[in-house]
Amino acid sequence: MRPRPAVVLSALALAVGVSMALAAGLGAVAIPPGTIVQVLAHQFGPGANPGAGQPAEEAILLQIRLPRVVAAALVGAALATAGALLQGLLRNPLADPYVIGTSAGAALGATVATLAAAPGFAATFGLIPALAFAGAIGTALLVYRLARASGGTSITNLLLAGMAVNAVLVAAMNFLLSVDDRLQLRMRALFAWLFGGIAVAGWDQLALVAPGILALVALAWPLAPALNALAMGEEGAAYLGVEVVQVRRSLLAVAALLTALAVTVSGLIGFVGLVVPHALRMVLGPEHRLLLPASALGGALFLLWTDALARTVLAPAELPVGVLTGLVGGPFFLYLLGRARGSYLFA
Amino acid sequence: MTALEVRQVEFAFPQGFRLQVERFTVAAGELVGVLGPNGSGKTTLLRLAAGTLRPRRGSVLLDGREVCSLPRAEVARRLAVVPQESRLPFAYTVREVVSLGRTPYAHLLAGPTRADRQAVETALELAGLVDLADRSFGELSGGERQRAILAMALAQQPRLLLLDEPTAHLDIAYQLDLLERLRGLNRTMGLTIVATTHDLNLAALIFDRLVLVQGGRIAADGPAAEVLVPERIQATFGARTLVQPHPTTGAPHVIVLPNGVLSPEC
Repeated sequence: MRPRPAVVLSALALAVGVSMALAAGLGAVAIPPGTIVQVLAHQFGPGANPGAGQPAEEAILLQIRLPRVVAAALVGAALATAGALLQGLLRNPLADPYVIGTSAGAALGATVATLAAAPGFAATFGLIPALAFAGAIGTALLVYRLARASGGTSITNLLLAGMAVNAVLVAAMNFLLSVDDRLQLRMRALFAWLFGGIAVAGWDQLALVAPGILALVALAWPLAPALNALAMGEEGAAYLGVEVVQVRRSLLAVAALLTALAVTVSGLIGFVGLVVPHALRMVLGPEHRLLLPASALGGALFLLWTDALARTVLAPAELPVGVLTGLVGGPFFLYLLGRARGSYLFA
Repeated sequence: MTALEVRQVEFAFPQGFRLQVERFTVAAGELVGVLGPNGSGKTTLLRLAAGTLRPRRGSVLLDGREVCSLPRAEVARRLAVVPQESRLPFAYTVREVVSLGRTPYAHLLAGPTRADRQAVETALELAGLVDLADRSFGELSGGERQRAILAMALAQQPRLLLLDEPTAHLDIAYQLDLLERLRGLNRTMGLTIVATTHDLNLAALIFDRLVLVQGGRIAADGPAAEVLVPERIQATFGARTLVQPHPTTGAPHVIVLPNGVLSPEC
C-alpha cells in the first residue's frame, strides 16, 4: 500500500519548517531554538518590535543564517523538481538536472566571468551567477535545437546532443583554465563555485531568484498527468491524449530555468536532483501529482541538512556542500536501492 | 454509423515504404482483424487511424472528423490504442497503469474524480485484473501485462479500440483469453475493435471481418470464409496451405503445407 498524499505532503512541509528553524541555529555561533523563536516573534509576530533581544544573535540570524537556510531550501527544491521532471520526461533513471548540458554551460559561464572580472572577489561575485545563468539557459536551448535539427526531438537525440555539447563545453572550460594565467589567482573563488556551496549575500540576492523558483515549482505541477502518461513512451503518451511536442517543450523549459536559477545561487551541487526524486519514488511510487511536490519539499529538506552539516562538521571552516551531498546522498541511495531489490527499476 | 474512415490515403516513409489505401471503413460495433505479413503496413495503417502518423494525401476520419486536426485529448476520449509491447521505466502498480487511461479526462489542477476511480475499477474488472491491481506492473507475466494495457485503454472509455498485434509474444492460452475478451467487449458493450494479428486461425475464430494487407495495399476485405482462401494466402504470405472447416466451429482453418511435399490435390 502506498502512503496517503495529504499525509506525506503535510509531514514533509512540517519537517521543512522545523528544519529551517533548527538549521538556522547551527553554525560557528550556535543559537538555541528558544532564542530563534524569540527573535522571529519579535521580528514578525504581533506587536513586532525589531531590535529587541540580543543584537548580535539577532543580526547573525536575520542577516546571515536565515537567508542562507532559505536559499538552501530553494536550491534543493529547484534541483529535485528539475530532476523529477527530466527523469519522467526522458524515462531514464540516470537523468539529473544537468543531463541537458546545463552544468557545463553554467561552469563555462562562471569560468568566463572569473576571467573577465577585475581582480577582487567583490567584483566577481555578481558576474559569476549572471554568466552561469546565461550559460545554463544558452546550453539548454542549444541542446534542444541540435536535437531537433537531427530529426524530431526524440529522447535519444536529446540525450546524445546533451552529452556532445557537454563534452565540448567542458573541454572549452579546461582550455581556458589551462591557458590563462590570471585564473591561477582566482582559482579558489571559481572552484568554490564549481564544487557547489550556498553563498548568498543577504536577502537582496535571494529576492532575485526566489520568486522564479517558487513560480516554476508551482508551474511544474499541472504537468504531472502528462508526465505520468509519458511513462508509456512518447507515442503511448500521445494515445493517452498528451500533446507531446508542447509538453516536452514546457517540461524542458521549466527544468532548464529551475536548474539555471539554482546554479546562480549555489554553483554546481550534484546528486540532489538525481537522488531525491528516486528516493521518494521508491517510497511513494511514481505518480507525479504526488512526486513533484514531494520532490520539491524533499529536496529542500535534504539540502537544508547537508548545508547545515557543511557549516558545522569542520567549524569554523566550511565544507563545500556539493562534497557533502555526494558523501551523504550516495550511500543513502545505495541503501534504498538494496532494499528495493530490483523491483524498483523496471526497464 | 461509420466509426473510422480512411479515404484515398497515401503515406510514405523516408526509407521508401509506401502505404496506399483507396478506402477502408469501419462501422460502429464492428470487430475487425487486420492480417498481413511482416512489413506489409498493418502497424502503419493503425498509426494513421490513430492520428500519430499524418498521411501525405487523403483523409482519416474519426467519427466523421479529421483525426489529425482534433486535439489529442479529444482523440483519446474516442479512440484507445494498445501498442505491441509496453515497457515502463518505473515500478507502477497495475492500478496506477490503468489510471493512466484517465489522462485525457484529467483537469489541470484537480486530482482523480469519483468518475475516474469508477472507470478504473470497471476496466480492472473487464480485464480480469482485480486480484492483481496492487501488484507491480513489472512483476506481471507477458499476458497479464497485455491485459493491464488493455484495461488502461478501456479506462479511456473509448468507442473505438485499436490493438497492434496484441497476442504477439503470448502463449496460446493467453492469446485465446485476450482475443475472447475482445470479442466479449465487442458483443456486450458494442465496442468497435480493430486488431492486427499474425495468427490466421485465431483471427478466423474471433473476428467477424478480416482485412488482408500486402505491400502497403489492402488485398482483401470480408468475412473469414472469403478472405482465407489458399490462393490468396499463397499470394500474400508465400506459403502453400490447405483450408478446411474448423471441426467444432466451422470457421475456416488454415493448415500450412511444408515446402517440397506434394499437396493431396496434385
